[in-house]
Amino acid sequence: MTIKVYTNSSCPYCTRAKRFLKEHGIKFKEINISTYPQAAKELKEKTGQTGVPVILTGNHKIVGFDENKLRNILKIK
Amino acid sequence: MDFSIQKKEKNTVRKHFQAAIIGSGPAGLTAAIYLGRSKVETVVFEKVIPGGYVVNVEKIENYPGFVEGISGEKLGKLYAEHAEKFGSEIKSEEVTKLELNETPFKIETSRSSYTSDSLILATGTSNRKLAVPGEKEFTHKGISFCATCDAPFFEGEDVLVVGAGNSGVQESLYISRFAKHITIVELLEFPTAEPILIDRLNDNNKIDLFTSHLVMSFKGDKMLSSVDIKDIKSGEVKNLKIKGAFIYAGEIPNNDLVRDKLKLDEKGFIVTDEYLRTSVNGVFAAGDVRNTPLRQVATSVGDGAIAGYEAYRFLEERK
Repeated sequence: MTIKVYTNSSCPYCTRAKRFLKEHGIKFKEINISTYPQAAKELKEKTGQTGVPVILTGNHKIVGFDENKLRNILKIK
Repeated sequence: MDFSIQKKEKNTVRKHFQAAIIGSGPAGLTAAIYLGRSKVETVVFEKVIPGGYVVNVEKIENYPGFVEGISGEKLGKLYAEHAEKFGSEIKSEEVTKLELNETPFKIETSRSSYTSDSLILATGTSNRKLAVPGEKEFTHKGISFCATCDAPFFEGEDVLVVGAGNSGVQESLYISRFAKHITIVELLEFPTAEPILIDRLNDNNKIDLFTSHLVMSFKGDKMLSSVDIKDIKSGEVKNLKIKGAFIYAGEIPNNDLVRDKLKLDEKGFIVTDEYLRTSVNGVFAAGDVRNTPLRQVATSVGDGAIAGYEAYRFLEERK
């Protein structure tokens, strides 16, 4: 399952989300909107979201850092 | 030489501490530095990342020693490194419940349970919400509370900022790097940001300030597209076309864990004495969550030092 994480360098919840995924050995592709401004536009058009982090996996879209939701969807104990 | 005992201690997850600090902002991590240097077994519970609310600030310019300013995120990392250097343990676990009726105090987190002989609350504040129609509906669909996170979404757009205090003005200046135009709406008759920030605001031709104005409602279809604001002197209501809104309309204390357990002031901030003792013996409060006249990194650091020292004295007197 491919996991995409939209982030911004100066976003604390993005840092927390990435750290959580790394701590649990989960591979993900990071798309940083401060490095790729076009990604912000694409994310807004595709998902209607104007905030990061946004984590896309399968049919799921997780907005913000929600540890319980991430654990449930990624089946982390 | 037999290392088995040392090895066992290292592998055992500690469940009891002499001091527990809730919150990893400037106050909490300063308290951890002082307690660590006093050889007190200390744990810090962090909810997001080290630094607390300050990590949302792009550049802190009024903290002594950093002449060119420092990013909140970098300062938070330095505080955490400093606290760990002196032996404090930092756990990325959100505290969900406290029991303060007897010592050791009981602490439940998102992952486990702990006990502690003393406690320092340094849980800080959150942005106050406006509680107007459309605010909840359009959060993350145009409305944001973190400019350093979300400003790039509004490249070339018209944006509203609510509040002309330090946060509102500082973040407006940051957002102006991306947005086409920014309207700041302030309820008071004048902005309350520091004069140096007001000067920068006046020099920025992308930003207009409307004082004595109130946000009535946010509107849109699937995404935010406009806002109604009211001139509280004339009663006139205007509709502004906007694609984004950032809200900095004051702070509320993060007091959920102790609302029915500690004495609070009329606004919900924790009441302390000059030694930062709360209404429960052995429980201290430091930083923005307590009743203090100024909420800055510098004042939080001072609070953390006092709370750490007083928690140490409390533990010593119990021996």
